[in-house]
Amino acid sequence: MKSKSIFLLGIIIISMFPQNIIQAEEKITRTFSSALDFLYLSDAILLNQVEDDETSSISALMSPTIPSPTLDIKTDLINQMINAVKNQRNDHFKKCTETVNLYREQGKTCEADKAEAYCKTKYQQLTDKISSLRILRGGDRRNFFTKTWHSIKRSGAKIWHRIGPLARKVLREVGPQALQIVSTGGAGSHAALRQLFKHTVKKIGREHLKEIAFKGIQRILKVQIDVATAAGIDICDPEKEQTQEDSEQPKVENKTGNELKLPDTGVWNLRCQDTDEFRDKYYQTVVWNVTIDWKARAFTGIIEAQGDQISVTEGAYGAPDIVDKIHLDWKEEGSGSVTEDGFFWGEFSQVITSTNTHQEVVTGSYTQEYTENWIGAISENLDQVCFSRVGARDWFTLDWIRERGRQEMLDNPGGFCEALCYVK
Amino acid sequence: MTEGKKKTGWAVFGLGCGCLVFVVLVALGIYLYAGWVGYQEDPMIVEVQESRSQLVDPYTLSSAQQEQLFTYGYPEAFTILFYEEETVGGGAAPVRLETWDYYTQTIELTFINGNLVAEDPLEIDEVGSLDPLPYYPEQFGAFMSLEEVIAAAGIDTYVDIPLEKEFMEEGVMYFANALTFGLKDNELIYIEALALSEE
Repeated sequence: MKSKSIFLLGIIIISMFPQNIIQAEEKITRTFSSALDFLYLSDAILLNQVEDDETSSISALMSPTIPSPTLDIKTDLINQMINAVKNQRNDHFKKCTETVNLYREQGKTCEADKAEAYCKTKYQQLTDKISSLRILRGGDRRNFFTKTWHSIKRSGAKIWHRIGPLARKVLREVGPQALQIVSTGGAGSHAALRQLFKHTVKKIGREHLKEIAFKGIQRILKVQIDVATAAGIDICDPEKEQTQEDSEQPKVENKTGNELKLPDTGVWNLRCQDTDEFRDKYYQTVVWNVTIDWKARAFTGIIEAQGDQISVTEGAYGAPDIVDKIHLDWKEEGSGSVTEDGFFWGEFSQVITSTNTHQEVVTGSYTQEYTENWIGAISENLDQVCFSRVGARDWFTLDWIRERGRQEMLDNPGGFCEALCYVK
Repeated sequence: MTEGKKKTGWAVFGLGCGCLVFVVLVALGIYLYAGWVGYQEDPMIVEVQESRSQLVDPYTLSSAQQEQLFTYGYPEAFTILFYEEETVGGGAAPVRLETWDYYTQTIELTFINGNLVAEDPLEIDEVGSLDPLPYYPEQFGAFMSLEEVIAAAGIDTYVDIPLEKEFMEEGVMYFANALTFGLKDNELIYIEALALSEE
């Protein structure tokens, strides 16, 4: 029964290929994805899941140093959002992998490749969402005006909490208070306390989510096949497939009709600036140094960053009671190659050290080391290079990560950069 | 002459005071406005002051659903997702994807637009005693507003959690008695009635 449904899903996935499902879904404003986002978030909040398994360098780094009571409600909520997206991504990945593997076993390479392409695109979207939420969780590196605006908002909101509309109380904790309302019907203690059944049988809740997600995707894909069939498109037809692949092949020189001619000799030192969109949240100073050796078609790079994060616990009358300061040092060095069509690929080793001071007394330090990948692309007039880190390869191959990064850079020039580097 | 200077002095003083008052008022206005924005972004517990109960259900159960209702009764928990899908003609059609859970009978039914698409067994060892669910699937229709959901479900108190735009633009998550739901652009796209058991 299970393999039958996977088989059906597979057929449907293949069927939708000529129409890009992700794009098709984006044309519609009330999407299945949004509804599913709520479903996963509700589960995360009611089960009060806080992000704990971390692949992010920052959170892994921070976990031993930041005491959990300092988490404010906003951070708590963002953590639950991250967890919701991670669960969604895991479920999606599992179902996709089952489908793709089934096709591989059956020798249906074309079908497997197309299903995998869809799965990876969706996976990447969810991964990007997690990254955005992680950046938001830091929030310390916003520009001056944004920080000021948020500070005024926070301060002014306190007044509105006193004089604002009646019968509205600020929430102190997200998960426990939401659960209390769900199980008692009110914030008071009079109602009989009941247990959420999903709490009692947790695996039921998880299975429930997976099944709804699976059936929703099946439905979306089925509709796609109907639309494709109505448009007279054949699925996995070798000739059409070849034409389609040819038209989708990224070609840098075809973007504007000009061929990209890279220099054959010379060493360029680049002046880099980290971009707002990808600026890492905990670091106040970030310095990138990149050198390109055109003859060797190779590049080297160094990133050095430093930052302080300060958390203040309020005491009596709002006076600062406890001040925690975490100082971060981040160093990254590595090298890579430059391809003929102007892309940069490299591996970089990263060392992050944190020192935690508690009211000027050093209480501990922590160091983490790991390797990550960089991708980059040079502009057509060779005056700037856009770099981005693509993180660890957990589920996908390095080739796939690179191809995805390359596609991002082609699709959205300048929009996928963590650093923009110019020729000095 | 002295009288003239005095008058000019008073005029300058008055103008200065006026400017100062203006600046203070603008600053106060910005402060209150920013505070109001921040206040609205904060998660809250809200007690409903006035609510009109909804007399007519916004959705009519399909014949397939009525048949299952006759067999199993009303569900002990249910989830409904509302969204749109592309049509062959190029437009968008609403979809109602719902699951009805019967824990004591260990079965889950899935309907899409009222058609039964799956009957899945639930693997539960012991269910215990469940409270009767105070809601029915037909009480909720696609893209209802918050006021309509409150009226339909007879909600007294709810938790209102505005979501970060990085997670969802214009999305708000709500929790009420045995109920959780989500609105995007003030349109209901997700609702789940939750089973509760005695502690």
